[in-house]
Amino acid sequence: MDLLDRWLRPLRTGVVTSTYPKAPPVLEPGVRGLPELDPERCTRESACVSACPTGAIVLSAESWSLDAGRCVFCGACARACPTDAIALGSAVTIAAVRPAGLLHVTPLPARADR
Amino acid sequence: MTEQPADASPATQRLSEAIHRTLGRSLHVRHLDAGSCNGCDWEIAALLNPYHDVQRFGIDIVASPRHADLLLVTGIMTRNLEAAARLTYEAMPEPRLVVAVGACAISGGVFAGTYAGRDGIGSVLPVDVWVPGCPPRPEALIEALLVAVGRLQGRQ
Amino acid sequence: MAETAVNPSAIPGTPVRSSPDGLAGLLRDRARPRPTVATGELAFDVDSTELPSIASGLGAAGWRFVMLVGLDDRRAGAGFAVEVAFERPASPIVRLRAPLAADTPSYPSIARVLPAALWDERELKDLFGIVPEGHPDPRRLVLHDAYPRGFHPLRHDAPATIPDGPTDRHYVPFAAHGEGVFEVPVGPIHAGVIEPGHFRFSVVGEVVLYLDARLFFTHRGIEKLVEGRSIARALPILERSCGVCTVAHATAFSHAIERIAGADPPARAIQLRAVLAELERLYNHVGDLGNICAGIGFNVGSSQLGWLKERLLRINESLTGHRYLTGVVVPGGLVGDVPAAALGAVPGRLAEVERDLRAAVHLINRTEAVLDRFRSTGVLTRTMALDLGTVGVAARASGVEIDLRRDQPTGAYTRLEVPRVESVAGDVAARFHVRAQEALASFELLKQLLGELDAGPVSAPLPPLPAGASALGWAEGPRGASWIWVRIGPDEQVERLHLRSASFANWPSVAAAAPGNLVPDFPLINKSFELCYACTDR
Repeated sequence: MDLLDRWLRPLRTGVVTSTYPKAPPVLEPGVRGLPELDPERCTRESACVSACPTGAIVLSAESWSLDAGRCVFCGACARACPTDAIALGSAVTIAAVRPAGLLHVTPLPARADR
Repeated sequence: MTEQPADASPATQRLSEAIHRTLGRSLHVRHLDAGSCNGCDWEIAALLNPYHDVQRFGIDIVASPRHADLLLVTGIMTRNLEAAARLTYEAMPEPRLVVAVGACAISGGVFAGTYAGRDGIGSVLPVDVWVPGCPPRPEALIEALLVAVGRLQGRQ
Repeated sequence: MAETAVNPSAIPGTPVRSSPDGLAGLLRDRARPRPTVATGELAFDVDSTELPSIASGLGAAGWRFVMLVGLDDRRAGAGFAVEVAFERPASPIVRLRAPLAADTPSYPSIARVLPAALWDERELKDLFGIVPEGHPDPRRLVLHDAYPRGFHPLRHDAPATIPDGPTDRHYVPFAAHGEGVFEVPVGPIHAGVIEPGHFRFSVVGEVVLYLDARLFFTHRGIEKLVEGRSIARALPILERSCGVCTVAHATAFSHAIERIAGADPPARAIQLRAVLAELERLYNHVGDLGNICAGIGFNVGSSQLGWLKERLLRINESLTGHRYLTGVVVPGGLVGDVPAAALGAVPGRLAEVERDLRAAVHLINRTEAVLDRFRSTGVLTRTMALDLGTVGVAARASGVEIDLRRDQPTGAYTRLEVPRVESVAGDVAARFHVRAQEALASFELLKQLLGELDAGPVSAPLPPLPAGASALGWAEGPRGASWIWVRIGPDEQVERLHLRSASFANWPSVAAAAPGNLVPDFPLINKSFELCYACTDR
């Protein structure tokens, strides 16, 4: 019976191999991928900049820039933001072929009160 | 070749076909831990599990740099390991590629500024592909390997 | 900064006679009590010349060596100091501090009476320049050839950039000598996907006479990096000392901080921390069982178990967003609650993994070719395990009863019955068996924990941390007991942190288990311990 079970088990289990990259990667909900900013919600308070343990975020008047090569995907920026403008998304396959490709820049809308 | 390959996109799929069409042989990968916390290394090891099965792409992990086309490097490049890392790269026959895996290899990660090593491998080894993550998932590594093969194809 | 009395309930000058039996007699007239902030600790000042005899006496009375911490108190007007900690089940932690000179600090080595401290003292000498006199191994441990002599990074006045200077010309291994004895060097870069370490075997034919293991290739200077940082900034660094022991180390650190603060996290946080700890134990154990199979090329086993590990990593991701549970445990509780839907699905997913794990272990246990390789290979005797202070799975597989979840229960473990899993053979088969049984026990613990979760918040702000306060924290991680010693400076910054992981404790046991075995069996022996190099090297 043991031997029979060993032969039948693979038939019952089937193929378990992922089909990535033909299909997108299978991720669990809530995966901590690349932080993303909703530019409309950003009030330029720089809480994210101070909270980041590796200095991955640079905030200027024109843009919010995330250095994916420094990011450790901890979520401190999202927790620190007073307007919930940052969320860790599901972008996890983000390899770069040159260093500039590591910088993810979100332009910020011009502020009316300037 | 886009500057920032995104996730499983037509571009990546084309590259996958490129391996089989133009390389005509498998891609042999050597792993090098240059001072990591080991998280990245375990995700590299996971490439060989039945779920990710990197061998289905004709990619395999080999035991010696002398058998390798590509060096998959993790860690900050510690002072204690730097000499061995240089020897490993020098032992690779050309053409050869280097992939920096994870925040530590790219920028030193949380360990940036330590007395015990550099802020990543870039000042010691010539990097072709950078893979963000802490650690990057196996799918991200697969994408990076397929992208790197695109580079290899470009050089030829 | 010198220790200050801050806990009003810790009475300075507590009479030694109120201490546990044995301790009073041992320390009478030789130890001056010091106040501690945390409860469950007894701290004393002793003369450094008394350290070996006190250490020997404590060892004979059943106390286990916990760690040895170097301190540079020169800025506070004192000199250097060394603190040695001991623990025993159901007893307070004993901390002995010996002040040392400010100019050429040294003390009589305790390693000759406590072999468990052999590597701790070599590390102390490298990082502080404190000399343990009479230590049998004068070689550097942490700082290899590329570091100049005289550079001691944990001294507060160590230069920010490493100076040029004379270095070691080459590594001198301890080797056996004789007719027909060869040295086989392996590493630091190994053939598989594994961390770097150098192993110098002395062999006759294929039989190992002696193994000299050299680690610290992944030394990242973590203990220096965290100094002067806030708790929030220190934690991501400390947590990444090892990528697969993140819950254990974050929990031990948080535990120490909470003991200094005198505050516990909310009930739900305590319970979820135990859930995360058992999930960490599970994915490590399942993966390690697979790696043991890989060590003998048994691909059926390593594939099946590798797939199970992948499923466990996905369960981890569903609960925390991270496959390796990093960035979740913080002082005061957790960074956030786990998603309700994911939590609801976990018992079902775990049940499927448990069913498949039983089948995989059953398969391996009925494959004679595999068992033949496992049995009587890499034996660590009970005596060796006790002398070397082995912890965790390796100790339990050699018949040593040691498990911090039972010996020093904290958090949810104070109310959980952790089953005893032991073997006496001390071979690879025993370590395989203990891991498999512990993994199955973790499923049971998770069922209990998940069935009884309290509602409520998962974190609470901590009271202020007084400057000068220090305490220990601990956790039973997948490989065994991990301990943290932390002292707080001004503005609630970390002033000194020392991590002694289970892997640091156990590496000498790997070297001790090698002699008498064949060189080709060493990968198997190594994988049966499956220690982290990164935890050790920091």
